[in-house]
Amino acid sequence: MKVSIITAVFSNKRFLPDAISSVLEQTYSDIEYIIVDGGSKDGTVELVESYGKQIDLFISEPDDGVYFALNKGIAKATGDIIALLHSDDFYMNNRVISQVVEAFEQTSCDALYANLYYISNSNPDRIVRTWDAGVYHDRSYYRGFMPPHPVFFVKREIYEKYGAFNTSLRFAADYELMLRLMLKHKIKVHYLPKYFVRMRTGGKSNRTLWNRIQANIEDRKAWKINGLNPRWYTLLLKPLIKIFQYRIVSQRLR
Amino acid sequence: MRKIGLIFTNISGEMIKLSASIVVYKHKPLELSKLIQEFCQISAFEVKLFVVDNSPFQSDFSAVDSTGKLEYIFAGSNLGYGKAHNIAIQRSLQDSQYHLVLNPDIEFNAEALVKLIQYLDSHPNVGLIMPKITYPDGETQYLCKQLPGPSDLIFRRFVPGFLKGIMEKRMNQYELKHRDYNQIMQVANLSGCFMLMRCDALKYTGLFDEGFFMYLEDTDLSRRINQQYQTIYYPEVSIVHHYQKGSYKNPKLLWYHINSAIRYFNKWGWFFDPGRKTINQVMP
Repeated sequence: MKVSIITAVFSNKRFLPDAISSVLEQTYSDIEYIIVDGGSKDGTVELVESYGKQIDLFISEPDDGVYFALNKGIAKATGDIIALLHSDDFYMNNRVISQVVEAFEQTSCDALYANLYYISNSNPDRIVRTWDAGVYHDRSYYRGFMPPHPVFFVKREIYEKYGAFNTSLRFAADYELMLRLMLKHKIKVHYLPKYFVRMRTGGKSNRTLWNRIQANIEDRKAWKINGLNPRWYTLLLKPLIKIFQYRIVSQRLR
Repeated sequence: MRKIGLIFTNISGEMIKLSASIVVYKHKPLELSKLIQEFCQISAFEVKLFVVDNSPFQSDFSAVDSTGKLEYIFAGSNLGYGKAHNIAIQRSLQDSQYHLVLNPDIEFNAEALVKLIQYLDSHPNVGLIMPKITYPDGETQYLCKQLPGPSDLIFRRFVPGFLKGIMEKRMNQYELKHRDYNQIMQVANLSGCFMLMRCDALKYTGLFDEGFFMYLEDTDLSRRINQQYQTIYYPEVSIVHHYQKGSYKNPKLLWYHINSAIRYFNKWGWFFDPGRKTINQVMP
């Protein structure tokens, strides 16, 4: 199986090299790496170009945000499986894609999700939060469940069949996508309880309280546009269960 | 892995390198001679054995090895189990493909090791493998475990005999006795008495956590490897372990055990440990 990895980036010269090298060191051989840049002027473009042919496809043009860029990448991808790696994040080890492919082959699933670590910006070995996604069942989404998006691997044919990101949502497009695929269309998902990505803290929806409120409004919209009804507690639980992801004693990775 | 005669090589034709470490504490070299000779005389791989001595005095291990493949490291003080192994693993990490952490009270034969390495070689997503482990009389030791919660460790040690019946169900589940110990299975918590690990995986997961003096450093490392790779119980080969639950008799060892347990739960969570819940659910 061929795997397409897509990284959307905008002016992130500082952390992008970590993402790129974690992709290039993957031992799995059939990988297509696509980087979609939003028209950076800080040297990100030159940085990506310095990798030459190791990046299979590089697009750089102004866009309307990360989900537009990811959709562009998905449209261009030719792999059987699509992986989305943000420019702040990187793979835990060089056998992540190999393990993902192995699980896809063994379970013949449509999509697969795993766990991730949130790490400190200043020290990538310091774990700030652990996102243990947990086993998925029918009631999961009603109880505030959401798989970590950077470790959500999907077959390209699923995107073709059910669409990629809904760009009318600014914050919750990732949530809407997973909700739509898993709860509405009931695609076959497999959970691999491995930590595959290290994510730098400060997701798009968690930055400020106002962002959080906007995200909550959008979360509600994500259900509505799919003709689904959350329970009264669903969207209260969603941010709340994240509290348990924080470590009381901060842990070092190695 | 290719087999040329009795030698195993990697794709580029170099012999597969296997290192091992044994940590000793006031052991006499002669007690270990059988184990050391068995390992050093392996010819299928390029082997190297580190004996790390935590004792207050030096011993002469050169007499028990005639191959020159043994390197004796005198720590000079009691560093603890994990830290002493780390000295050897650090030295092996760049060169070796595989590293074996061995207890001094293990008996095995070279063919067992060949089979384990063949398995690792054909399953590159496996980071750690443990064979079937038996008592000298051939009875299976239940060393595949769920991830422990505080009650698992406390009850196992302190519950008086007449209450053990109540706890037995949970204890059996904890030691995966409901699973078939003759089947290959993925287990997150494998015993430290014979840990065969992929060095490339250790570069990403890190080595033993040196904050553990003794006990539970194996659970901690096994769990960390399992977070990123497969950790496999492989019963198609078996080895012998002269198992002594030292901390049940010796108060000092019990003290180390309690300290390690506190450290473990401080690290992974006492009552909120979602990873434990998930793993014990996914690998029931």
